[in-house]
Amino acid sequence: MSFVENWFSFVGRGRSPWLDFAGGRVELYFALIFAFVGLVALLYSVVKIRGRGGQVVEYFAFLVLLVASGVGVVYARNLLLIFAAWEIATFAIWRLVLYYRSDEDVAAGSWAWFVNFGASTLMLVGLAIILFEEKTLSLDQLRGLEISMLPAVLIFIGILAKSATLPLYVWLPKAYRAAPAPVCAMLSGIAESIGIVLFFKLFVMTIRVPGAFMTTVAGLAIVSSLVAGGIALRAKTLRGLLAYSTISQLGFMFLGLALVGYHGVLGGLLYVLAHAVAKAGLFLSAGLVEDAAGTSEMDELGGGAKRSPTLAVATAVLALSVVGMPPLLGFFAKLGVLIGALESNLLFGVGAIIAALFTLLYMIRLYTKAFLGEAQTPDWKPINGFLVTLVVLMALVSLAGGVAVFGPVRFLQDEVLTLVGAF
Amino acid sequence: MHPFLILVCVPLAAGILGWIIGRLRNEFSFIGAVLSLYFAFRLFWHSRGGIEEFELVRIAGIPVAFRLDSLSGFILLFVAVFGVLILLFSFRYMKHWRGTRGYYFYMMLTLAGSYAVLLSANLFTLLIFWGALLVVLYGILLVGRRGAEKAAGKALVIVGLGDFAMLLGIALLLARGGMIDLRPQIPMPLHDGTMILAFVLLAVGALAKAGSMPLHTWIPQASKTSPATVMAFIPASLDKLLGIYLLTRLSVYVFDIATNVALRNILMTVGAVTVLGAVMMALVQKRVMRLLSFHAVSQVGYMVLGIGTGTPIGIAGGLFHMLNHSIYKAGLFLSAGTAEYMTGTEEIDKLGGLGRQMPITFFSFLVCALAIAGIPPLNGFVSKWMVYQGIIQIGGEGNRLFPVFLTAAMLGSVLTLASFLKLLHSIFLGQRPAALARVREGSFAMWVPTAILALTCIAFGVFAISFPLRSFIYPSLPMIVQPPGIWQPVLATLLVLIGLGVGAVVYLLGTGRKPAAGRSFVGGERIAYDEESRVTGTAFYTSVKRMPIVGDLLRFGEEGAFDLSNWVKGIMAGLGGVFRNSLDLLLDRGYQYLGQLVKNAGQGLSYVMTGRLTLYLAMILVGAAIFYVVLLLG
Repeated sequence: MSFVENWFSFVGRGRSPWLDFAGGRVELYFALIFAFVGLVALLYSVVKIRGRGGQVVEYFAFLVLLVASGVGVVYARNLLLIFAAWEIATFAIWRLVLYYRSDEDVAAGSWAWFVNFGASTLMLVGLAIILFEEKTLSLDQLRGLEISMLPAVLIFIGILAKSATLPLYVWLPKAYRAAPAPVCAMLSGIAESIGIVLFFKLFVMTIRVPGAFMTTVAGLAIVSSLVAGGIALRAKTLRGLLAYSTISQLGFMFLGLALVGYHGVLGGLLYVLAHAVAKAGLFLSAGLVEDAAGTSEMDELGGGAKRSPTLAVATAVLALSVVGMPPLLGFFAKLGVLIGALESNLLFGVGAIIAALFTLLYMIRLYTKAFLGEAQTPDWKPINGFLVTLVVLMALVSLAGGVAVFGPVRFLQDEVLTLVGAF
Repeated sequence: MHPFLILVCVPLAAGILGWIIGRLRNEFSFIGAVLSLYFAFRLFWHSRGGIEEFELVRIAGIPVAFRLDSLSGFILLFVAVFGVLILLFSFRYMKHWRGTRGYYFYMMLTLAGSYAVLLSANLFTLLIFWGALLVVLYGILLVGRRGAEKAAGKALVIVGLGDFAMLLGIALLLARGGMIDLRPQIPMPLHDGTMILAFVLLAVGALAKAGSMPLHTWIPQASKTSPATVMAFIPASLDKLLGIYLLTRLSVYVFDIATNVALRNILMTVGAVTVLGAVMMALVQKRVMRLLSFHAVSQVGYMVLGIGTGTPIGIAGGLFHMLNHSIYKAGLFLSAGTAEYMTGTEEIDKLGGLGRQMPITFFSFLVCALAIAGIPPLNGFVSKWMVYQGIIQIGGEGNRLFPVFLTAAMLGSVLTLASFLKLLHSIFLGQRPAALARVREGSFAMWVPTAILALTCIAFGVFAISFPLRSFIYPSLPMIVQPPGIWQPVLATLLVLIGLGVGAVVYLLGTGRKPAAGRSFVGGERIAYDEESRVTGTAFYTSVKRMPIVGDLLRFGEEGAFDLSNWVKGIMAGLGGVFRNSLDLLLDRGYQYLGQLVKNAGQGLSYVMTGRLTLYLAMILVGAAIFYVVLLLG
């Protein structure tokens, strides 16, 4: 572990109070997740993305920019710098979502842009209020300060939009319907996690907010998780199901982090890794199935396991990781979040378990419809073996992360312990 | 390497090797199972001596640890025995099935996972392997006939529901400072709300595994599509061993069930309903496997009843019944599987008269059927007897409900016998259909495991007190069990044998061998013993279906009205529909209107913004003026 940290130690303190990057283990953990998901999406895109020259160049530029902005949010030590990276991500999401340029794609991209941009404008107002009240936006100087309700809520609205939670998730299903598969993977692996990262860095690690705020966040997270889980159960397309599933899972992460307890925070952090890897893998797999069968409607799919057994097994592992079945990584994350939730309120725990039950049901539905039973479409195009390997890689990471879960836990636990102890 | 790890890793490695080198999968899995039997026996022997512990790793302060004591020791041994016997049976039986590569892989993983569950020292460790077993179960149920995904999905929903309940229970214990150790110094009393909730949640997980009502519906569903070996291994023996093991652990070691009368009554009610409900469903079945699978549910009721009494004799009886049930139910599934393999069908209508051609299978089936019906001196009788004793004992302690439980248990036993008479008649006795004239006894690999299981049924019944109870059951409980009443199995056996001898003498000397044969008068028709006049067993108990309330309930049951997974799915899907059609649409529309509003506002502004320079200059001036006024005044 120390080798990895040394390798990344060039990320030192910046000279200027504004252009300030730094981070410890938790930041490295997030950055590695983003880099991994970004790399896999990039490799997938290299094979899959075809188009006119300029368009492809733009695509890859924004793909890399999205990863860069994610890492920027992770390491930046100044709220204004975070905001800049945040807006770059918004911009990249917009350009990537409308890649195919049909009317619906452009509309989906515009939705993504308007919702995110509108919310981040409110966030900027929140930052301005903090600057006005505390005379600084540096995270190091803000540490331990108590800020009032208004800026906290305004900043949180920005987070809600990016991390697609209840009142502001509407852009996400549209974006997933339009975007190419690797972009979907990036959205759920990186773009959605950026909001979680900011929430963690600002509300959990740095400032203090009124207790009612965090309880409200936890309640909102559970409601969002339940509602999105229910909608996912009734989704008609693979992408629709996975999109609402992402919204539902984000609720678990907020739940774990909001109730600042040792197991909850640890579980929330593990959840980011588990979900980023598993959901990105699922989107890639769904993309392959769609391309092969020529449709995304679940009622028209079927029999994928016979056509591509390897893809089917890998997808099963990824789906079970999202559901939270041991020995996969998702299980340990979910257990941590649940312990955190129950430390605070029994109702939170019950809500979370019902949301988990939704996850189980819609994942069974997805797998049964797409992979089991008889094939509905007779012409199943061959699947690129390299792309299947990428999905298998994601499945292996989910499995290895679960079997060797003590690895990431040991990597994170000291920092989490000091963090929770500080509260 | 620690012996615990060896025991878990041997079948795991054998399974993975067999999966990679598909050609040698039979050899690898058999060697793995036999080796693990050897190690399991050593551990069992060791467990007589005392408790041994081993901590693997600590995750965020929660240990992943293993422990061996006398309760887990003997169940380990039996899991290994069943593994070997059923694998032996599979080699021939599974030949014509598709997906056997996956089948052997999953079988070995199931074996490894079960060892790990039994060796788990705390609930966290147990839950990890418990869930892993569920994943494997999903895989193994997918190996089956067309439509297997329905059963697999149902199992995943129901057992997954139980898993999530356990997850919540364990998280509750961890969050509220409860103990998750499976063998604490003093069992926790069940007085305060958190503890009761945790116990109920954990018990739901255990009951879902054991297949108690209403968490049973995946078992009959799986019997339609899965091979008989899977049914014999997982729902019939392993799941009972593991589920009842956990229930015993929870109610005797972790919590003290005796401290809460209401919980005990609830548990016993679940048991009584399971016994009766499932056996009624079994009566009217038309397929052998499905009928057997309902009995696999019904018998769980006795175990739950026994443990629910909270008395030492009842708990010991429940535990002994678990052991007996896995033996005879595995025997029943395997011998029925032999008949199915040799005839190619498992429909009761198409079977009949096989007893003469398949004597060993017939014998095994007969013994196991009598054992499950609780006929003395077989093992099923002894354990049921102990459960009855337990129920009578709580009656003595002032429980007003005890006659209800006792009647349910005894009535269940009678109905079990009735439904097995139907099976015995329609598979092995009765008239043989012409199509089955050339059926022979199953091969060596098929009858040896079944015969071993049947002989074990006899041995465990005749020598019940001196062998299985004394070496397996009594040492594994932390309390002293009073011997079960005045039942003397050896003496009783002798009396039964004498009775049978007298009967044989009467049969041989009397008129039994030469019954008076006369032409029966049926409207003047001469009855030919041919296909037309063959009496099958399907219609034995159709009168049950015509009973006023029971019949309706059975029909609802057959149509899935009491299927918990249907209920869960329906309610969840309904909720999903409500969310989608209200909240989601509302939000979507709301944002669209908001967008429209902004757009309209923009259009409004466009009347002001005409593009004339003078207007903008004027606006800048006015703005600057306001700015300065505010600055000067403020």
